Amino acid sequence: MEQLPQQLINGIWQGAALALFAMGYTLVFGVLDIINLAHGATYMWGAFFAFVCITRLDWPLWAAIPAAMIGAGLLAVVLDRLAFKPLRTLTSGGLVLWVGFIVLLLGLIGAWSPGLKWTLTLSGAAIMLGGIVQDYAAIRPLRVRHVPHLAPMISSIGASIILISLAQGIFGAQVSRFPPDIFPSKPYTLPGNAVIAPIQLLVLGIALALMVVLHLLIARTQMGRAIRGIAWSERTARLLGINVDLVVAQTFFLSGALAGAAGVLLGLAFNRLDPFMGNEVELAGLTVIIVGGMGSIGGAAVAAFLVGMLRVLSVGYIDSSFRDAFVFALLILVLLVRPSGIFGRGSSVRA
Amino acid sequence: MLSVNDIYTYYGAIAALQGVTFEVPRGSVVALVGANGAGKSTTLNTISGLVSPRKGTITFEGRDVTGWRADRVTALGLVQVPEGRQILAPLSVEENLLLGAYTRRDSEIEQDLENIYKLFPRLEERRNQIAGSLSGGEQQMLAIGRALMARPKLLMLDEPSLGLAPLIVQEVFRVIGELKEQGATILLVEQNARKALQVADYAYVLEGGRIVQQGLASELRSDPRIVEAYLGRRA
Ligand SMILES: Nc1ncnc2c1ncn2[C@@H]1O[C@H](COP(=O)(O)OP(=O)(O)OP(=O)(O)O)[C@@H](O)[C@H]1O
Ligand SMILES: [Mg+2]
Repeated sequence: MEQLPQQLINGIWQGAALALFAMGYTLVFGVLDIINLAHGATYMWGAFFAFVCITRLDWPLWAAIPAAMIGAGLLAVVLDRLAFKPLRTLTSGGLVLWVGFIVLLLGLIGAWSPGLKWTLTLSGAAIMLGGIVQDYAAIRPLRVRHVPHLAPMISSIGASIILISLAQGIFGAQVSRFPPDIFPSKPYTLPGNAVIAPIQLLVLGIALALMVVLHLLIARTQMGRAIRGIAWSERTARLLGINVDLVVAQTFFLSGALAGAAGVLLGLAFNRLDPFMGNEVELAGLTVIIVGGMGSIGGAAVAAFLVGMLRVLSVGYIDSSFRDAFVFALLILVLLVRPSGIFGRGSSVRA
Repeated sequence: MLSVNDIYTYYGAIAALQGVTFEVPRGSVVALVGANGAGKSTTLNTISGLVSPRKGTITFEGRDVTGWRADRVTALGLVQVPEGRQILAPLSVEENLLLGAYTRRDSEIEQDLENIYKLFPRLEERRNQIAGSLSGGEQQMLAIGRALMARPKLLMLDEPSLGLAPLIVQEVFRVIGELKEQGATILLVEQNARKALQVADYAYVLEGGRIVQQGLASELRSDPRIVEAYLGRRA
């Protein structure tokens, strides 16, 4: 059994990465009141984007991490347009987007000749782009819809399944690994006989930096104010001249980029990627955002360290098979005792 | 500047507006008065693009804006202060004001913020306070200040005196008078017809989704039918 100082160190860096995931998760909930169950799949894709950049394109790590964040952010925006936006308003651009998506899927999955495969894939992507542009430029929506609360959740489960299948089709179901030499591996020794690997320090450093950046974006910029404004009242936000769809897209981008960052960082730290890696973190992330108070970014950050620590300690002192059991025990306890979360009050975004 | 031409707006099968037509010339204050449920808010919301008319057209500065998205309408400078203030409660007073300038990209936003604080000194004292903690009167000031931050070409006010104490109502109308002096174009919706007709140049009376009467505010003030229906016996 390992020493306590070592457990605490592991809890801290893993908690920091979990915080990135959870802050993105809770941000979308705070703004749109939906639980995006494809957030875990976005996290997984973030890790694979970096994997592609490093192993296929030979990019250095420092370029692969932001690229993965941007990729995952854009993926989340497309996800919103495909799975959530059509449930809110129906526009001609939305229909075009769906047509493009089906063409793209056909291209990616079908057994075509290479030429046809590329033509289908690229024209699908182009049609999708056209649909998105058309949507933002639209002056009048075709119809505003009011769908039942459960619809976005189900729709995001569907999106998650598509994303996982795509990853399986492209990368296989087995575990993929980064090349071992991309980062120095000699650990630093800390007081109390604990050690921390350079990669774990990197995870902690990047995660803390991103938490500060997110806080500043939400608390200090016009975009952050607009995000919080929409969370409170979409109607009022519109009267202020806020393009709600655009701000929702910005929200999804931030959310996806954070999930992507968490995906790369944890993928690097454990050096294992697979198409199902999002499922586990999604459970932990859900616990974090409930414990932190749905919609509270600060609450999610604090709760992530709590849950990260709980996971590490239950593995270290009890048994690794109990890790999720303790997380769920905490979840149920919080739901029973204080359903609004330890730090939460309502469901609007707070920095 | 704004002309509303024969608009019909429905909520499901219920016709809230049945052929409303009126004009707001540049530099004038036009009042729209009427009882509860007459369709005053629906008229403003149709202009703002929160609801779409089934028939009719809305033109602003020569441009057909019928059915436009609300944020596009606001970006044109046609700004509404909605009924019940609708401030963003969890944001601070200053953040509400800054969001009012969302459509602007110029460098004079800070300066306008100071001007709003001069117009409403009480907002300055509370600039870092959560907007939801303001009193009703202060929230109305904030809602008006926030709309002014957009530098509106035409300001639409939906019952700014609703639910306020008489002293605060005076304060609100003092500000409307001041804006008028500065040459602002205002469309004022009010149930407080007495006050509205004092500040307005021209007025329309809305009843059951139709304009039933119109004229110079000074004439309507002494019109026996208006006195009877909207101003009470004393006037
Ligand atoms: N969202 C809605 N759904 C259904 N009916 C509505 C809706 N909003 C307003 N109405 C109806 O439309 C009519 C006009 O309402 P509107 O709010 O425009 O009146 P108003 O003149 O602003 O009244 P008030 O002085 O009470 O604010 C009323 O009969 C009202 O019941
Ligand atoms: Mg009204």
